[in-house]
Amino acid sequence: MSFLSPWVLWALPLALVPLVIHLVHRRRHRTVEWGAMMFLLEESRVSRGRQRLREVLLLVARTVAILGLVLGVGRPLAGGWAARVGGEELGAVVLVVDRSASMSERTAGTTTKLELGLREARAALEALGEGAELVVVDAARPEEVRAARDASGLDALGLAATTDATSDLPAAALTAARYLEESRAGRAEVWIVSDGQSSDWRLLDGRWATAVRRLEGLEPRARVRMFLLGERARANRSVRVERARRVPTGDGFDLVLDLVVRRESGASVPAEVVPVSLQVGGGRSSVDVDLEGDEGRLVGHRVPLAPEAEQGFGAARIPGDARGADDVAYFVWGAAPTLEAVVVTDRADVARVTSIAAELPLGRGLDVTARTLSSSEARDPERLSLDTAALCVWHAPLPEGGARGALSDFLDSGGALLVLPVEGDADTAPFLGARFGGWQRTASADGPARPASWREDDDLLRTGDDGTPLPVGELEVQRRAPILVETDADVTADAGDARSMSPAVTLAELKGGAPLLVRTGAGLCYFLGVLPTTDSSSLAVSGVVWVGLVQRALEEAAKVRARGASLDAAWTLELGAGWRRAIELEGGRSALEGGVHAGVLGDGERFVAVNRPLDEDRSGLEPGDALRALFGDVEVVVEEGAGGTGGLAQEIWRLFLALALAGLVLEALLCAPEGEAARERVER
Amino acid sequence: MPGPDVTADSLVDAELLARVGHLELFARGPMIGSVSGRHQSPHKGSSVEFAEYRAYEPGDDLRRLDWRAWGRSDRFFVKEFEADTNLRLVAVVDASGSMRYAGQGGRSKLDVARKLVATLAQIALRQGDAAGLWVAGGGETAPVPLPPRRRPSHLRAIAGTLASLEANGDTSLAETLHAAAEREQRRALFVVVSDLFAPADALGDAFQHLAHRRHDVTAIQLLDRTETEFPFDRPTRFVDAEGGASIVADPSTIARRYHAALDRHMARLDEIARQARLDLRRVHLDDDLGTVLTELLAARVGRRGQR
Repeated sequence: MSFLSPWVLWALPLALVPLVIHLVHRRRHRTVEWGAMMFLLEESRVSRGRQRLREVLLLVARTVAILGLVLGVGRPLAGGWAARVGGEELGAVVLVVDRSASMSERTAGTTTKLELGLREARAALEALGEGAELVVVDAARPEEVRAARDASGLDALGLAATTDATSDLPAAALTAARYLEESRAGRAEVWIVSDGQSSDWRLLDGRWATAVRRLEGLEPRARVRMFLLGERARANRSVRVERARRVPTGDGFDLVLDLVVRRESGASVPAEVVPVSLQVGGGRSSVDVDLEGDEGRLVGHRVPLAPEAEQGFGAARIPGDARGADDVAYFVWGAAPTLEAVVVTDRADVARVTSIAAELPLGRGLDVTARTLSSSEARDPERLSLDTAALCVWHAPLPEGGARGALSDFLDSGGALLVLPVEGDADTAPFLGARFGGWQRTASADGPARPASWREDDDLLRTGDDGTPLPVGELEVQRRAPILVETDADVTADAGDARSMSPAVTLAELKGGAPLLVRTGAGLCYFLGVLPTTDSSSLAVSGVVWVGLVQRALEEAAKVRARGASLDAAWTLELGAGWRRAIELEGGRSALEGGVHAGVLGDGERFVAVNRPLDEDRSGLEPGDALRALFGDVEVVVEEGAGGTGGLAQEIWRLFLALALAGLVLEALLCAPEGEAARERVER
Repeated sequence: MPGPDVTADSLVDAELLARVGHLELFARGPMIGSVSGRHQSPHKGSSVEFAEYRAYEPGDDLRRLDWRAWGRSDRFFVKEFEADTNLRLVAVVDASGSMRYAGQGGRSKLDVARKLVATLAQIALRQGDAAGLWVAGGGETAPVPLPPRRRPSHLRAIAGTLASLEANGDTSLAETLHAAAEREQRRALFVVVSDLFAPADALGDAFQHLAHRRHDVTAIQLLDRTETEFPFDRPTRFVDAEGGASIVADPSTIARRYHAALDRHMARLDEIARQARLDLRRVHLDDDLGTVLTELLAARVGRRGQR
């Protein structure tokens, strides 16, 4: 048990007051020479034990009353995390907060899991007292480390609102480990507040190994405390719009919607009809979805559109339940676009393999044409003209002047930029926090270097939807240009400029940690350290990795650049300053955190729907043991919060006040006079 | 402890005597005295009050033959008369430590006992009866018993003994009553003045012993209001007046059990009184002694005459 106001415990010696009063009282009684002693002695013999017991009880009651009062005022905590960390001497605490959509689940009253977890963390921090440095890693923006100073500073960070994104806990763990390595804060703990959802934890992610290795290497050893709010609410439903398209009819256009309502309660629950409220443009309608088993689908539901409406947006809502974040789905519609892939290079082989990779019709509904520009042409923003482009492959000296601004705007508006190294580019100024070093030969006597690790779970090198991984490990690298990333923005306490805040993410690296593909912190901007040419790598020869990489960059960009796009909410989702919310955020969430909240955004020309990732609806929960095993030799304490408040640290001052009250009542009962006053008992 | 003002003379209260002096002290049963008096004797004697005729038996005094009856019936009858005798008052005063208790009135139990016994002794001696005194307890200075005597000067001896009494030590009332029962062979009126705060069974045996000896026993139990009402409200150290043992107690916690114990004792004494034909009277220290004695003496007038 620990206390939120431990200084009150100095008053504990007051508990001795009844004893002192008792002793003083014994000395202050008057003395009577008594004749009828035989009755007192007789009763004394009979009830000496009872008397002694009564006196002891009286003392105990009074002491308990005072103790209860003092301890109650001290705001004791019991049964939880805070109770166990109380008294720990820590140099630093890195609080990793999972703010994913699933943390919006309300399992006890009106409090979300995130709120419960934060309350617990705050109580634990207060129990910890001063002395421990507190920093927060928001797993929705896992590359940032935010200083909170103490428990009260947590509130200022605005962590209490959940996001609609998936948390990236391996990245957050890595950030925490890196911070502890650099801060050398002494004995440290990493506190993780999460519901243990698989999609947030990504147990197979290669970064866990790095993060755990770093944590294991800390001296003194760090400890990990996980507070798992694991239990799932019963009968939670979710809604998702799978498709929204504008379809011509005889006299106008209809919006055709495919949507699905899911529930988690299992097949044993009887069928039900779920009313879905549709908001299309300014109009509202409702449609019932039959929910049998776990899923109910509504396919081809038509909503008439005004003839002049070429594009638009809307939302589908189901009645609120335990998890509010999945009760709404946003959608946009519009005409399918033709997109450009602009290749800036002076080398024909680079232009050729890149154009082929970009124009391959891979059935994604994208009509892409490639346009090649020389490096000199690209310096002219007019010639560069990226208005209709989704992807720009920049194989030229890092942009300067007008081209630099054009590329920044291009990134702001959702375009993807892939920067390739050129000969003699080593001394140029960095672009968006990164630049290339001088070319290096990486092949040795043992053969060419190969990528040692890469991110399979996300971004350009992710495993395909059919589960087939890209053969990145088979890639051969003969020469490469080191990617130099500015790291001075690693620790930032201020969430001001989002672009400068998002540090680079290494998507692939060679053995020894040399980065091969890096995503900088500014939207879809990638630096690739090799060329798709035979003198640099086998990218062009094997082709699969290069095509996958280019296509995915296009695909990512097209989500924004194409009208009618729908994006997954994610911390990496960066939209330009011109984007505004077409549907206001619900629940008072911070509009500053643009990419992590669902909604509809528009820049005046087109709309983008941002929804929670599918994994947030479907992903299961990892058991505490699985998460514990993740950390290898690092000591892990798992605090299981059983959904409600069981396991949570609770302020139990009420209990102590009740105890004090009970003590007072007992005291009153014991002190009640036993005999009736002056009764006539002896007849003459 | 007797106060400095307790003298033999002060014990005989003229005012009190004036209030009760017109009453006479009677025994409830026949007395066996050594001289003729105003009390019934169990023996037939030669007084003036005819009792019955009895057939002559050889050896009877010929002077008691009723010649007139012989003349009428030609049979010998002896005429018997009631034999009146004097009363032997034996006062037993408890001088144990508990009799020192004075309560809130300032008058101790021993003071009241002295006054009652002195007054009764004076009444008895004045009407020609014998009066004696036994003292129970009183510690090492306990006086020897004064046997009943009819001499008026015996009152001074009794008053002097009463005046010299000190309430001390354990109660030995039961033992004293046993001893007195053994010593006083002839029927007597025993007046026991005590708080009777002694084991009831022992007291019961002692009173039975007296009853067995055909003594007429009156017990005056002296009580103080504080003992019956137990009006204490603050933690108090109760020191045993007889032995020095003490108890520190919160009256609120022991009052109920104290009352219960006291009630049990009183009920047991009442039962003993019934069994031993005891005239048990409870007197509070603040009661008017004139009233107490008047009630005591008046009640006995109506009961006399039973053989």
